[in-house]
Amino acid sequence: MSVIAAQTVALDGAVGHLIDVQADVSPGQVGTTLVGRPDAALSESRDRCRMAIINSGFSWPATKRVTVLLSPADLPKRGTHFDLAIALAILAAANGGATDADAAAATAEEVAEARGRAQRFLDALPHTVVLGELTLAGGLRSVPGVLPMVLAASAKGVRSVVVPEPQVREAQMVPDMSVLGARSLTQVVAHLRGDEMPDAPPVAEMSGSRLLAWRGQERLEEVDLADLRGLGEAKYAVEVAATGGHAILLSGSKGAGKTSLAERIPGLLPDLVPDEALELTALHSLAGALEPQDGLVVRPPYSAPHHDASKASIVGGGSGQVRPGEISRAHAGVLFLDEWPLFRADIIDALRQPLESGEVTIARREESVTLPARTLLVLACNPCPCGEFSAVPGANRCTCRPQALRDYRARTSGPIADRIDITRHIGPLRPHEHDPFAPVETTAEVRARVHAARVRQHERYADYGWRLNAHVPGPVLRDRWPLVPRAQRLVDDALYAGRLSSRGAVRVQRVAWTVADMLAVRRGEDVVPDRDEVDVALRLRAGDPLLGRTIARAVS
Amino acid sequence: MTTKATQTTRATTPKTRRQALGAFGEDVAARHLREQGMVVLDRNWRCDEGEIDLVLRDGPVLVVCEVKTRSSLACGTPHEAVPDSKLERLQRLGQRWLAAQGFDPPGGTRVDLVAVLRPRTGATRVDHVRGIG
Repeated sequence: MSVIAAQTVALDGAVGHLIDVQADVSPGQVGTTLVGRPDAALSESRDRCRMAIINSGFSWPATKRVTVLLSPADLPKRGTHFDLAIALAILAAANGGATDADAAAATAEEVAEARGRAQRFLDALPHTVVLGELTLAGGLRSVPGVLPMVLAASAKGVRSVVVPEPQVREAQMVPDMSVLGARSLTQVVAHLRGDEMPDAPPVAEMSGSRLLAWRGQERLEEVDLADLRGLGEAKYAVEVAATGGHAILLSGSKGAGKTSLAERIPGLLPDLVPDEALELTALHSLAGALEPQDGLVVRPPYSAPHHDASKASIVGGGSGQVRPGEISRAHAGVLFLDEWPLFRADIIDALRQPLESGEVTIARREESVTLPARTLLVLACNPCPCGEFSAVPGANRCTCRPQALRDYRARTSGPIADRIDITRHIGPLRPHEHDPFAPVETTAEVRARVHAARVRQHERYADYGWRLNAHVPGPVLRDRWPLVPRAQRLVDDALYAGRLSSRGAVRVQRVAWTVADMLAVRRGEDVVPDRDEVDVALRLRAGDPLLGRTIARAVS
Repeated sequence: MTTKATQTTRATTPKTRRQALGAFGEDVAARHLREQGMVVLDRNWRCDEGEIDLVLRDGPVLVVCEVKTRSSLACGTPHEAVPDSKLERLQRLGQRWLAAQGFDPPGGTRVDLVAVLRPRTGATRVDHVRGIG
């Protein structure tokens, strides 16, 4: 006897596997066994499917032994979205796609018609990927991760999917895919058989996360760079970071405007390119954080976790299914760690690898999950625990004990500091910065420039698949886009004097390219990094004040 | 015969009515299996561990047969009434029976189930499941 398999997808992080769900119904000790390494939530699927089939008006093989195999059988499987595939596979094996209405067929024509419909069901089933959790009444509930699952199915050549009705828009983001949004098991069976679609009560959406009138994300759209007076150097540094995707550290005494400035960084980023948007939406879907009505995420995300956060919440992981952490949810956007020395040391250390590679790999006993994590890291800290420290002797009102000060310095100057491209100290406002008539740039103006400079980078790296200067691997950068000799000498001097590590030298070169790109946009001509650009990059990295002409050149 | 059995059992206590239904089912099952060419070796064989409804020979194979009789499907099918523990007990009982007879079947031992449904109206239905477990 041939076994008809239903198709669904198992997610292993951001990697999707096509799963064959086969059911066999034959005489033997009555019962249902589910094999193929299901987890606890999936094992309960047996009971959900049984009741859903019975309550949908189909007959359950109550006198037979039902064996369901999820193959490949060695891959651990999690989640409740297998329900629909399991139920359909059992229906195919038990009834051959026939319904009770078929049994009522009287004339020869009706019988032939019913057979044709049952055969259509059996033919369609192996070519359709079905996703959804079943209720006892036979309704179809939403499940997390529909977009990455449909993406995976599309990559394997599947052209037809069935998803819970609230998630149709999510699945339709995948090009060349025919999507059916269904409310119940009976609707799916009718669709596959080509019957008239029966009516069913609407299904509940997955989350109730918008219960409160909380407007955290919307608030970010209302803040503007023009709200902040002064801060010329810091604004320039932030623009460099936004343009090239370089990690930036803002330090300064309390109330100086570190957080205000960091909140305005996502506004400076242009809309995501289609690839990024799909990646990010898939990640949010995986995290279960995608609202059905949202559609594709096109604005860069902003994530600002509190310093009490756990390691799993930042880098990803958690118990059971691996969930993307804040660093992945801020992919192609901004991850802002306010008061970062207060974060647990192991979290800060865990950020090292993603900062270099742009992805985070979570390895466990049986699985290894890699998620994209190419985010613009923004750190903010006080100069000392009490926040009053000043390098200017007369202005120093710090009351910290020397030991506390030393501990704090040790945390802020570890290996993570070597991976920060831009350090800026935000000092108190100077009298001339209070000028209410001085022209102030708005977020929209800066964003237009950032966009233009990013387009230059896209074009330069079009053959390689990187998007921004910060993503270019060191060896390729040195080989393919070397600095002119006199600019290289400036980097070498700092390297030999011990002010720069080898990693730092590569990072300075990347920032120098960003500075040049920004200048090219300003001047409307091609610019390659020279002494001036490298000097700016070195100063940005070391936290030294920028020269007056750098600022002047940037704002003129 | 069916109507007569119903009339006689109705006057008795519930316990014996159930026993009568069981005995009726075992008769039907034995006749059904005989028609399949099997030979009944023993009926209602007991030991301290339990009872075998029917012991049969199917060619070279010794068959331990459990008969489940129901008058309606309100409490599930008769097939569903054989859990793992019952199956294991039947397998052990088969070995006990063989030991008691000093007999070793060349084809090994098999556990079968005969489900008998005798609804209040309509024909009695018999379903023989070869080799459960």
